Parts: sequence; structure tokens; C-alpha cells
Amino acid sequence: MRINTRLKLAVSVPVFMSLFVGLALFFSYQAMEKDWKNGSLVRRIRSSVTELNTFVQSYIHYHEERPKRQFLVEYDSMTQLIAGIRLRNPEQQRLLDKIGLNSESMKDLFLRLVSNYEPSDPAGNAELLAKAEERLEGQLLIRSRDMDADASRLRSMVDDDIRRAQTRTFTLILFVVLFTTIPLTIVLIRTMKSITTSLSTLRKGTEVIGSGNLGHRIGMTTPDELGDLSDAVDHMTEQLQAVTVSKDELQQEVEERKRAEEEIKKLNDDLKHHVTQLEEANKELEAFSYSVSHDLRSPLRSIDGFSQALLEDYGGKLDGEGRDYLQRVRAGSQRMAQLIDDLLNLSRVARSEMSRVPVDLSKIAKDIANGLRKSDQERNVEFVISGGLTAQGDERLLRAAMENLFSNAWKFTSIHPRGRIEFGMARRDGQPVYFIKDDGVGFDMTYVGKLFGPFQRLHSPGDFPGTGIGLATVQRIIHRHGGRIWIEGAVEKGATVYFTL
Amino acid sequence: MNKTMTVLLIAVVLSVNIGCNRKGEHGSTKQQETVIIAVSPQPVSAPLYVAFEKGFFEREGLRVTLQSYTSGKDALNAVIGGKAHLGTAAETPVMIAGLKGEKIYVIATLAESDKYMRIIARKDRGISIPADLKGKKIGVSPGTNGEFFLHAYLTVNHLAKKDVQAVDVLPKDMVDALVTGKVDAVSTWVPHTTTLQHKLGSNALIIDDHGIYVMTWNVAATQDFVKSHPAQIENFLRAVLRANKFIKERPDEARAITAKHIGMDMPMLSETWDLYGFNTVLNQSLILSLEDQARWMIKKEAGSARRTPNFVDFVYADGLKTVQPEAVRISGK
Repeated sequence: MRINTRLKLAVSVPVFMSLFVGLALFFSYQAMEKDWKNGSLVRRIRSSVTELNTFVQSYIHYHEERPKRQFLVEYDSMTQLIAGIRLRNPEQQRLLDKIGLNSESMKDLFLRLVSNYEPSDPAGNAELLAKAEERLEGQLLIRSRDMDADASRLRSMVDDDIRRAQTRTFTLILFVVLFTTIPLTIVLIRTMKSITTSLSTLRKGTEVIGSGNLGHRIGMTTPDELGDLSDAVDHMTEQLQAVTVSKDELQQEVEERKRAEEEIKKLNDDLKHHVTQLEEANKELEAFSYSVSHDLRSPLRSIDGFSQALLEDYGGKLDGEGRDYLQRVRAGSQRMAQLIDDLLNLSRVARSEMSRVPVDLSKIAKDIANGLRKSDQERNVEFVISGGLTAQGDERLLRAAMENLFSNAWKFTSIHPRGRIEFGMARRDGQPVYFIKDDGVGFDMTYVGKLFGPFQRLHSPGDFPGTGIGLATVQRIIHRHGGRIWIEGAVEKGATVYFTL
Repeated sequence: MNKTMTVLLIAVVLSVNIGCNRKGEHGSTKQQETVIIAVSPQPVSAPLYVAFEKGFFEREGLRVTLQSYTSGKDALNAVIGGKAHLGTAAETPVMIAGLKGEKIYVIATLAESDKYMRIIARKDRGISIPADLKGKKIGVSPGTNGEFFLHAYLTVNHLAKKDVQAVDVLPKDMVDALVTGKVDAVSTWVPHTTTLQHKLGSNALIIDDHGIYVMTWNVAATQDFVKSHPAQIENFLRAVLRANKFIKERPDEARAITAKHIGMDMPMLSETWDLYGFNTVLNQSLILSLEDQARWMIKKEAGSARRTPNFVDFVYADGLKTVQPEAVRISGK
């Protein structure tokens, strides 16, 4: 039972019972009061009966005026007394009525006795008068005893009523004590004990939780307010525990992220460091290449110049073999010079400053095609150049890249009587992809990986002249524009170079 | 709390049940014993008829047989003669039996009435006032309270026995004797008085002097029977007390039962019903009444050496005292 209900009961039951007992005691007292009053009246009746008997006896013995008068006075008094009493119990009332009737008969007999003793005819038969007197006296005695028995019985009954009323009152009080006070006391003691125990359990539980043990539960199951409080505390602890766990997890995640960021930062730093190192190494390498190339040109010019001078001045003194050797020296030095120029170009491409502007690629393509046609007018090559192709980029570098690509196409179509070179644009994944396509000798796709490496060649210099640096230069230009370059092709089916910008 | 309340409730329920069971011990679980009761078919015997018809005797473990006798005198003789265990009679036959030294006990007075006895006279015989009885033939049953009532009436009216002609008439012949004119008046009891009133109509002079005599209707048994069957006496009295209660609570039904047994019309019975106080008691007045009548009887028998016995010894009060203590009002009992 809930504490609130228990306390309400503890207050309302005594109030209700007090009212009930008060009313019951009031009515019980009323009844007892009436019984006491009746008892008092009945005692007076019995006393009157005794008095009447005494007066009768006195008159029978002495035939005097005093007992006669007193009998009549007492009779009137008793008659009035009886007339004024109304008893609740019908049996008692019947007895009272009987006493009244007997008293009437008694008075009648008494008056007849008086009349018999004081006959109107003094000359009457004395023997008959004596017999009548004896008879009347006997009856008076019987009546008085009968009345006395009835009065005694009535008194007993009324006394019994009083006793019963007292017992009833006592029982009522006992009932109240037994069925109200004792259970109420038990309820209050049990309630107090229950509250004390529950509070102690709650205190201990909250102490444990307060010490940081969020896994602890009080777990009180009493069906009262303290049970509810225990549930609420347990629920609160559960929520608190859940929040605390989330916080820990979040903290852990934050720390992990921090660690990852630090790691990334470290890797980034390492990368930057490596890039810097790489760039420096690259710059050093380029500077070295440039320096070497530049410095090699002067001795090479000397070799070629003096070889030419030797041929021109002393050619006649040399036989054919000697002159051939000199010619080879000159060809080798010239080739080396070409290589050095190409390397310098490549180096320049990597080092030069870029200025991005709108570039008309179609116009550049047309210019290059015209130049190529003029360089060898005997060749029958068809140029198909899409118009209006423009892009953002460094015009000088893009022109250099396109010259390389057109030059390659021109070169690899040279062994066919007719050739076709196409410059155009396609779209892949929404992005413009430029291409230069030829129908030259093509290449074996197996070696496609080698094409963009410097000095890599798929054909011998005898078949197709070149240093093998062109595509490496083109790739560097495209990369500097942030684009991509690749080649597709097949042997004798031409090749197509694709690039984006 | 619930546990405590449950225990208390169980205790209350058990105590109530035990109380009920104890009450039930007086019920029908008793072994049945046969009791023969000799009854004079008069309205004052109503408690016995009611107890018999309503099964109160059976409930008290008594298998009762009612034997009908024309007067209490005959009923008491049946008891004395061993034909019945209990019998109903007015105090006069009891007094006579006491004088004779019969070993009997009165165990209770069932009813009292001072209007039960009457002298009914024929007006056509010149009787219009009580004094006119002088010289007239008056039917009476000797040894009954009819005889005593006649004596009492004559005495208080200063008449001697020789002033009238007392004619012996059996109780059953009382009505016919007066109606046929065999006698001029009769001294008798209900229901004969009521029957005669109806039969004679305006020709009847009813002499009703209720101040001079109180009739008591008693139950008597032999002393041997009472001493050997105290439990049956108690059971009998319990049944009678229950019948008294029934008579007060349901008088119409009680009257119907009584009318059936005594062969009296209901209207006639109803006329006199209020004359009887059905109250089972043992009063000192019974002793006085017995003594009073005994003195009369002894004087009547001129030259008799008999003395008035101590009638207290003829009363068995233990039974009634056990079942209803306040009903006994006899000194020394």
C-alpha cells in the first residue's frame, strides 16, 4: 500500500471510528439511560407491591383504618407509576400490564375484604362472613405473591437489559480497540518501519552511486512512493551512465582523430619535405643538365668546326677512309649537338614560367600543318583540323607540344604514299579530350609504357630520325597544365595521342 | 497490514462460526427419545400443540406422543397411572394428588388466567343475578377447579354449599347438562363456557368473578420420571419456551394449531385467546394456591386427619432454572 494511502487511512480511520464510536456510545448511553430509568421505576413498583402486601397483612391482622388508607394511597401511586411507563420489550410490557391487572384485582379483593369486615348488614351470618374473609385473604395473598414474582421478574429483565447495554458498550469499545486501534497501530508501526528501512536502503544506494559506481542499482520493489523514488533514482543513474559512456566514447574518438590528424600532418610534413628535397634535386639535376648541355656545346662546336676545317684544308691529303672518318666525327658531333638542344628544350619546358591565356588550338594546328606541308611539298598528307578548339594555357608551351605531336605524325606517315592527320576534340565524362590521330606505322601497344620515357624509341633512328625526347617534353608540358596524356595505337594502323588540359 | 487484517478477520469469522455451531448443538443432532404427554384439550394447552406441530419437540430430541384427556384431572391420573410421562392439569388435581401423597412434581406452569373459570346459568330458570343461584342445581365436576371456583364464588358471596344443589357432571357432559336443562347452572372452564354462551345465547347468565380465583395450567410428571430424565425435562421446557415465543410472534398460526387440536372454532377460540397469559414460570403463588385449595379440601372432608403438605416438595424447579432462571420465583428453589 502506498504511504500516502496509509497515512490517509491512519488519519481518516480514527476520525471515522471516533465519529462512529461517539454516535454508538451516544445511542448506547441513551438506551442505558432509558433502561436505568425503567429499572428505577420497576424497583419502585416492586417496592409498592411489597408495601401493598404489608398493608394487606396489617389490615388482616388488626382491621385498622391506617393500613386501609395507606393501601389505597399506595395503590393509586402504583397505578399512576405503571401508567407512566412504556417498555420497549413487549415481554416486559406484558409483565407490567399483568402487574397492573393484578393490582386492580388486589384492590378489588381488598375492598371486598374491607366490605366483608364492615358489613352493611351487621346481623349477617358471621360464619359465612368469616369464610368469605378467609377466602378473600387467601386470594389476596396469592395475588400479592404473583405480583411480587412478576415485579421481581420484570426487575431482573430490566437489570438484564442494563447489563446487556453495558456489555454492548464494553463490546463496542473492545471492538474499536481490537479492530481499529490495534490494526491501526500495527499499520503505523509497519509503515514507520517500512519507511525507515526504505530510506536506509535509498541512502546506502545513493551513497554507492554518489561514489561513482554508476552500474549500481537500488532496486527497491516496495509498492509505495519510496519504491517510486528508488525507480526514479535507478532510472536517473541509468541515464547518467549512458551519457557518461557516450562522453567517454566521444572523447576517445576525438583523441583518435587528433592522433590521425597529427599523423596526417606528420606525413604531410614528410611529404612536403620530400617534395622540397625532390624539387631541389630536380632543380639541381636540371641545372646540371643545362650546365652540362650548355658547356658541352662549345667543345662540340670546336670538334665540328675543326673537323670541317680539317676536311676543307687538309681533305686532299687524306684518303677516302680518312675523310669518311672525319665525316663520321662531324655527324656524331652534330647529332650530339642535336641531343643537347633537345635536352635543353626539355629542361626549358620544365623551368620556364607559365602564363595562362586563352589559346586557339585550331589555329596553332593549322599553322603547324602549313609549315609541315611547305617543308616537304611532295608528300601527299591530308590534314583534318577541327575549327574553334580553344583552351586555357601557355601558348608557347602548347604550341611546342603540338609541334612535337604533329611532327611525330608527319614522321610516322612518311613511309606511306598517302597520309592523314586529324586534330580534333572529343568529350569523355563531360571533359574535353583533344586528340591528334594519324594513319602511320603505329606501334605495338605492348610497349606503350615506354613511349613517354626520355630517349625511349620504338623505331630505329635509321627508319625514323629523332632523339626520343619529344614525347617526354610533350608529357611534361601537359602535366604542367594539370592535364593527362596517353596514346592508343596498333602496328600499321596509326596512332592517336589524347590529352586533356 | 493486509496479513494482519486477514488474521483478524479469520479470527472473527471462526468465532462467529463456533458460536453458530454451539447454538446448533441444541438443534436436531440430539438422539430422539419418546415422551408421552397427556393433554386436556383446552386453549391453555396451546404451547404443547404448537411445540408438537412446529417440530420444537423433535428439535430438542423428543419424539412426543400427545394423548388427549377430557380434563386435567384425567390427564394427571394418566401420569400417575403410568400411561403418560407428562400431563397437563390445573392446580386443583395437583393439590388433590398431593393430599393423597402421590409422588408427583410440577415442572412448570404453562399459563395463568383469572378469567378461565365461569358459572354459566340459565336465565329461564329464574337466574338473573348471582344471588338467584340459591336453591338451584349447579353442575360441577368434583376434584376439578370447577368445584373450587364454585366454592370460592359462593363463599365470597356469603352463600353456603347447602344453599345450592351441587350436581356431579363429567367435564365432557357439562354442556349437554346445562343445555338440556338437567342443571340450572354449571361451574366449568373454557371451551365449555364459550360453547354454552353460544348455545344458550341470550338465555345465558355469565357469572365471571375473576378476582376470586386464578387458574394455573401446569405440567406435572411422576417424581421417578423427573429424577431419571432431567435432560428430557430440560429439553421439553426448551421446546415449550420456543412455543411461547412462537405464540407471541405468530398468534394467528398458534390459534389455528390449537383450534385444530381442541376441536374449537377459530372465532370462538379467538374470543377468549387474550384471557391466557402464556408464560412458563414457577411462582410462589402456585404454592400458595395449592395450600389454599388444600385447606379448603381438608375442611370439606369433615373429620379428615390430613394436613396440608409442603407443596414446595411437589415442585421440580431445576429444569426451568436451567433453561430460564428468571422464570423461577419460589423461595428455597
